[in-house]
Amino acid sequence: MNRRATTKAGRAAKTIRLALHLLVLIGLLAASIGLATFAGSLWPFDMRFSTLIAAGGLAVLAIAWWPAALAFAAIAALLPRIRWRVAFWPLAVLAMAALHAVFGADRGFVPLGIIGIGGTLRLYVMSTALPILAGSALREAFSSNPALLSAARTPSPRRSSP
Amino acid sequence: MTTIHPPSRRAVLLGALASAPALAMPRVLRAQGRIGMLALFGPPAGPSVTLAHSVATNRFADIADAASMTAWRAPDELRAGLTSGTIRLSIVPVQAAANLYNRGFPIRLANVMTDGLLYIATGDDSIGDIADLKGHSVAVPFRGDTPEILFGQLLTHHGLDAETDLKITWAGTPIEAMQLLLAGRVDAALTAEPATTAAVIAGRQAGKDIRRAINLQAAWGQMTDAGPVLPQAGLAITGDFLSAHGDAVPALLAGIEAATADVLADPAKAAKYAADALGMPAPLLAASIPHSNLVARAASEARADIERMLRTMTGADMAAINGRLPDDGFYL
Repeated sequence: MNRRATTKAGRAAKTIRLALHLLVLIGLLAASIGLATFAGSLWPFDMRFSTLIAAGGLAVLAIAWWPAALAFAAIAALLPRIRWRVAFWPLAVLAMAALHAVFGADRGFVPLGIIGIGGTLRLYVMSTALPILAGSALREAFSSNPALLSAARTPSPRRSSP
Repeated sequence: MTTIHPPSRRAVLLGALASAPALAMPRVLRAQGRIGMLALFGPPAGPSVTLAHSVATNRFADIADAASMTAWRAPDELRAGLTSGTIRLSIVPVQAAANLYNRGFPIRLANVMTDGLLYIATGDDSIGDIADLKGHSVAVPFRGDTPEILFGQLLTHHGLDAETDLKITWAGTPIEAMQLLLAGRVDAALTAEPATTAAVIAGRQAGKDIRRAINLQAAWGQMTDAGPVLPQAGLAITGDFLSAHGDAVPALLAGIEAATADVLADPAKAAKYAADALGMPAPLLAASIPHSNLVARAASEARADIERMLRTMTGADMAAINGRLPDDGFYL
């Protein structure tokens, strides 16, 4: 009875965590569209066109830097705590800025000297967040049995004893 | 026996009063009557923005009860519409209109609505002129159509062989050419507005500096020792329409001329009006208008530019326009 309740609670917690990932994904996509609209001066505003341009930009970056995107997803999936995955995001952006500085011009991107640090960070802030989020969602979806995880989190008799 | 009485003075006065409004109407309306529905057609590109704007701002209210602007999607759709009579007024590539005219189809060119909207887009800093394309890969849409013919002429003029000096990748549409460019599969792309603007915007979003490296109008002007003018498309009118409403043409052209000035003065507003009619996003149209060289020049005034373009692009045999330049009857 107690074990069944623990399993249910674990499943509910997993569902909540995955729903949060979905919310973050929606937020990131909305931010990408907003960024594309403002950075590209896409006025008068057209939701479909801004979405198309944002998606196109992300697709070009994903195609050009797919090994890096794959690595970010894998690293995020390996990190056990959500706060570590969040902390990994700015590091990933900096890593992409470094890759851009070294290999960007050869791959047809505007050199770092022209696009600037701000432009580079703006370019990679969303394109790194998405694979990290994907890796994080995978970790949550395929993590160990939630019942065992929940059981592991229950206070031990020694700690709970007076 | 019927007796005919001379009209009374009262009857004459009443008749004069009744006909006064008709006498005050423009000559066109007295002669041929108002147009019920003025149906205009055009390609999903820059010059159609002008027509859509004309319709949205009631520029033809003097000659028609209602007006509409519909974009045709492919030249085949245009040809079918012209031959079936469903399209009587449309923006048409000048070369296509000349070809139809020379083959006996009753069509005349009323004006020129763009002085050219072709560019070579690239992110490669080393490309700035046609000659710089040597050794590069170029995506080319419109195979066998006006832009490809013009591009071929420019390559020949600069001593380049399209088969040996360049790597040509044929694209189905300008948008496909743009995608090849953005994906880095070609170094440059021959594109027309608004696809060029789409490439520039999408490139910026992806961290690539796609720019209009070669203005084909300017390159054409250099080649022909003339101005940077490629009268690519204009309003063509079929014989059917001219028979029924020929007197309305001056007012129609005046409306288009006024609308062109409006479009150039406020591209964002014009784009908003045209977005639905053309099925294209307003921000894209707004950004492409300044690069579309929109004009409203009477065909007879633009004749020298048109003939220069047709003569150069069709070669010695002029097969693309049935072997000869169109005569006076082509220019309205």
